[in-house]
Amino acid sequence: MTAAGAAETFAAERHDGIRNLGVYGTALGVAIGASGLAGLVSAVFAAGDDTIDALVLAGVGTGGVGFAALLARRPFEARAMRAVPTLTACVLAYLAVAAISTVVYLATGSLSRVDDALYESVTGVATSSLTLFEDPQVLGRGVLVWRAATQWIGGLLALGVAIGIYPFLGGSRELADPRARGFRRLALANKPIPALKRVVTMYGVVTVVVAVALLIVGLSVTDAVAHTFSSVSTGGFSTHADSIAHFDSRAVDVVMIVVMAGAGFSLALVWMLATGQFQDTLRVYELRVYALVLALASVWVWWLADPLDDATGVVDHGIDSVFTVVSLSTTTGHRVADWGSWHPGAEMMLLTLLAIGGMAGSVAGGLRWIRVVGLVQFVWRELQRQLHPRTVRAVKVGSSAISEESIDRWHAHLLFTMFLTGTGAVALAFFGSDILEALTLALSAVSTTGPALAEDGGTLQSAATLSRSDRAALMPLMLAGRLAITPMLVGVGVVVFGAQRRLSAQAFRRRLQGRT
Amino acid sequence: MTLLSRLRPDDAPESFRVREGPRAQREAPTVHVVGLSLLFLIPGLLVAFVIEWVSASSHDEGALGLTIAVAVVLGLACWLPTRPGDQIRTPSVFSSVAFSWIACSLVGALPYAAGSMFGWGQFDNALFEAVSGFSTSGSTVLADIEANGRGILMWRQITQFYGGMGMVVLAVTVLPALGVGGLALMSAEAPGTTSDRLAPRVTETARTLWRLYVGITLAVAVLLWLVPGPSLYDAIAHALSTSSTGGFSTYNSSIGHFDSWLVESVIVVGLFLCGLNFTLHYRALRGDVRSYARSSDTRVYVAIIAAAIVIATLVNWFVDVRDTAGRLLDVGFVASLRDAIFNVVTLGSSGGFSNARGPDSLGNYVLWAPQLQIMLLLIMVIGGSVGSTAGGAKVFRAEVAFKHAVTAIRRVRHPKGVMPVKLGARSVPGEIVQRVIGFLTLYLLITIVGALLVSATGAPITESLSASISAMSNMGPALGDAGPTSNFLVFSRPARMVLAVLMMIGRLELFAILLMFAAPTSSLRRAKARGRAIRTSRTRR
Repeated sequence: MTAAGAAETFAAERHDGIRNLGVYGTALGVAIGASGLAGLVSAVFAAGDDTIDALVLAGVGTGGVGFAALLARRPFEARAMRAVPTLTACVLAYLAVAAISTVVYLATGSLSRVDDALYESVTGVATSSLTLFEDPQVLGRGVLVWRAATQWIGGLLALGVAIGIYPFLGGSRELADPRARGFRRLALANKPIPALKRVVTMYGVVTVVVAVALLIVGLSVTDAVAHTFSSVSTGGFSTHADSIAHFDSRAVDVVMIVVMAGAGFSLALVWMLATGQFQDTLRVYELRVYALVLALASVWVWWLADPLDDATGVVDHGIDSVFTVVSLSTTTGHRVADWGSWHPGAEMMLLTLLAIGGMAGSVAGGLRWIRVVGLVQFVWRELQRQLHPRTVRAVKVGSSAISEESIDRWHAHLLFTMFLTGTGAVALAFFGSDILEALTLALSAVSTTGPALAEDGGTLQSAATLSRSDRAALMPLMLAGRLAITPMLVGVGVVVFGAQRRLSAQAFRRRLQGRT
Repeated sequence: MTLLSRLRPDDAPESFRVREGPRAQREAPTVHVVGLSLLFLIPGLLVAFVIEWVSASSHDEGALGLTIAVAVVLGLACWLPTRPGDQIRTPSVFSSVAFSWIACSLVGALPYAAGSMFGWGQFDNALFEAVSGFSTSGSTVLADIEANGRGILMWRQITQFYGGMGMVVLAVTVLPALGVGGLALMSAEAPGTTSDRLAPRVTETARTLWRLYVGITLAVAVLLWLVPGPSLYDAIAHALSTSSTGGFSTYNSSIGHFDSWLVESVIVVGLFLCGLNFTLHYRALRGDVRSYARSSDTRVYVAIIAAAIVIATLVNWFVDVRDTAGRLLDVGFVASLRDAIFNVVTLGSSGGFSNARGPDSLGNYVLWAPQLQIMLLLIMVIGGSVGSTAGGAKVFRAEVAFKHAVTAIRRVRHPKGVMPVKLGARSVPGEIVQRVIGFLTLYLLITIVGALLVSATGAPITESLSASISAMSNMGPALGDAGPTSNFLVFSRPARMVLAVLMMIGRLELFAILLMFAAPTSSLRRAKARGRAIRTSRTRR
């Protein structure tokens, strides 16, 4: 390389670096700022509690740092965002929230070990419900709200990545935007920044509405706020050991069913409803499939779990079945019954739903229904191609064609999900779980649900019985699942290969030439 | 397959063209191929009949005789009045293959149902056993195998031998007239087996494949007979289920009955070779031994098997292994290596034999550490090489799918980059990549639906999922209570029927069974259209 060429490359790299600083600053600023806000909200609930000092300090400190980062960041144009630094910034944002949360748990004395605090934090931001606390009531009210708030932040970041960032960086637009599925009037996701602003607004409005609904059906303020945070984010943390069953109220169950099912909807659909496009909303193919599957799965589970075998009445058992189906299919993890001791057919159906998750563009984890529907349509086309090899046919979901690139990405997503689940299951089995527990734990972690089938029967609801090595194996799975796998893989790839490239002798020589 | 099946009859060389049959013969390729396949069962049935008659072990010669009569009558009734037609259309290819297998399974179940093995009241069990045999799965519903006659047990082994290379491939060896459609038929029955043409003529390719197959079977039989332990009968019986990677045995404890590392070594070598592409064997026999090393598929297959053996040996050696009563097993390095080699190869090639010397021996892989059992499940799914008699999704497909997924991630970084999927130095065409993705997605969907249905009958989740995977990959044993020292009686009757369907779908690599009704429905549609046209013309007149 000539000296002029090297100088040019160096200048380009420097420009990229400056722009990337803006991206990193924004992502980290938003994440840390949101943590600060959550800390202050939690501090309000911790009034008269030992933990108030730590929560106020965390709120003010992190909030200050977050807003300072946002103010000091380098301005950048959204159009100039590049995939790798942006996705890496998203991964860093998650890690920053997890780190802050770890400090909060340690500072409030809720957990004394760093690894335990880190696990609970990662479970929170990954919106998984496999908590370390068998009885959360031992925690103060402030920490209970903080715990749920980490899930709320995790959900917000997930929506931001899924709707506001990834589709504009070459990701599948179909995942975020029903317009790509044939609806032209909607304007949720034209550009990244407006899309992100609308995501935050809608998420906030939905949170307030749900909190009010839960207050109306009789929950205390702390319970209502904590359950709102953990439900709209499909997190699943509860303030009680037996989750929603604690309230023993069918009104609460029904409200929670509606809230969880709504959290499994695409946020773009919520926007369509909010803007009065009811008919267009009902025409969304993925929504029809999702609703139909939820209904059929509820009947399947209700039928197989045989309500006549136990003391529960038919209607009560029906509500339990619908609640469990909705809770697991939206990867929330709240519970009203021990579904792990139900009929194997019902359990298998619930595990399948848990793996698939909610709709695309929703806060739920899992594969997402749009991918499953798209891949089924792709398989149908391949079957037809067997009969008519020369046929040229687009893969369609409803009446809209899906791009071949999207199909490729969805297939990659499916394969990496299986790969992560398999690898995770092997690791968990290595640390002592039996086959069923290892497989279901890994699957549940990747789909960010949480509960699994326990070794000795029943549902595994708490990570307290797991070993430290089990929990260490679960953390990367949960984070990868929450980040929809691709950003995580890109981020890891960048860190590994980027470090390798930057440390190489050739890169060093080039830099040296550029400087001189 | 596709290139040749796309050729019109006029494009085909003179020698490939279908000659006009007598006027009395009706053009019905599906029925014609079904008839031929049934007729090809007769030699196998005769062998079993003679053995049963000579040994007089269970007096099931009547059942075998009845089956021969049924096969002759049905076979001739289907074959004589029909002809394959000028060109076998693609839908007919799938229906021919699927209906041939269904017909052979139904007829193949007759000796079990009419004899003392099950009786007519358990025809579903007889059908399961037949499907398991023809699909080379090796799952059994026999609680006591050794209580049955030698002839009927030999028929069980012979069904696996037929299934290994396929009855339709056998039919193609005597159907020079099929020409263009012949390769399509072979490919639909076993897409991997005929991916490479070994000779210019399709019939010659089919014959070469069968010769190779018979040659390997004979070699395994001779070696088994030479080593101490197996009798001539045992040697032939186990050679038939080794070359087909089937896994049926004439003993309750399978290969564990012989408790001989020499017998296990012969079986392992046989299974390993039959898990590799037969085209490579053909090239090696013609002097090109390096073709094995050149094949990326083979390299990956060998790497997977070797890695799994090393992991299984070390884990079994270091980690405590307990028997069914919870007692600690004394596992030495050699014993660990021996059982690891046998079980990894038998599961990697979808053989499904067991070398367990009892339920509490290390050969019973259900006793192994859970991480090893999950690893074995993954090996089952991947299966053997393309072009082998092994089942599973096949190494080639797994490799293409993985590389394609990595490419999709790399494309996030370089959205405008042109990144073909490469195997070794060769790029895989996009059309094949799409077909592979379609196949694997369908494979996954069917496995999950199968597991859901099996679990709905009350089977525990581990058993349901592993049995569904095992059936789809034509493995045989599963995990949990359906392990290598057990049988599939642990599942209910409806669950066994679901598994039988999965075995058939897995053996015919999904498409043939799923598209089997394409030809009848299109014929129906054509007939309706003809009827409409006739009615219209009459009305006009």
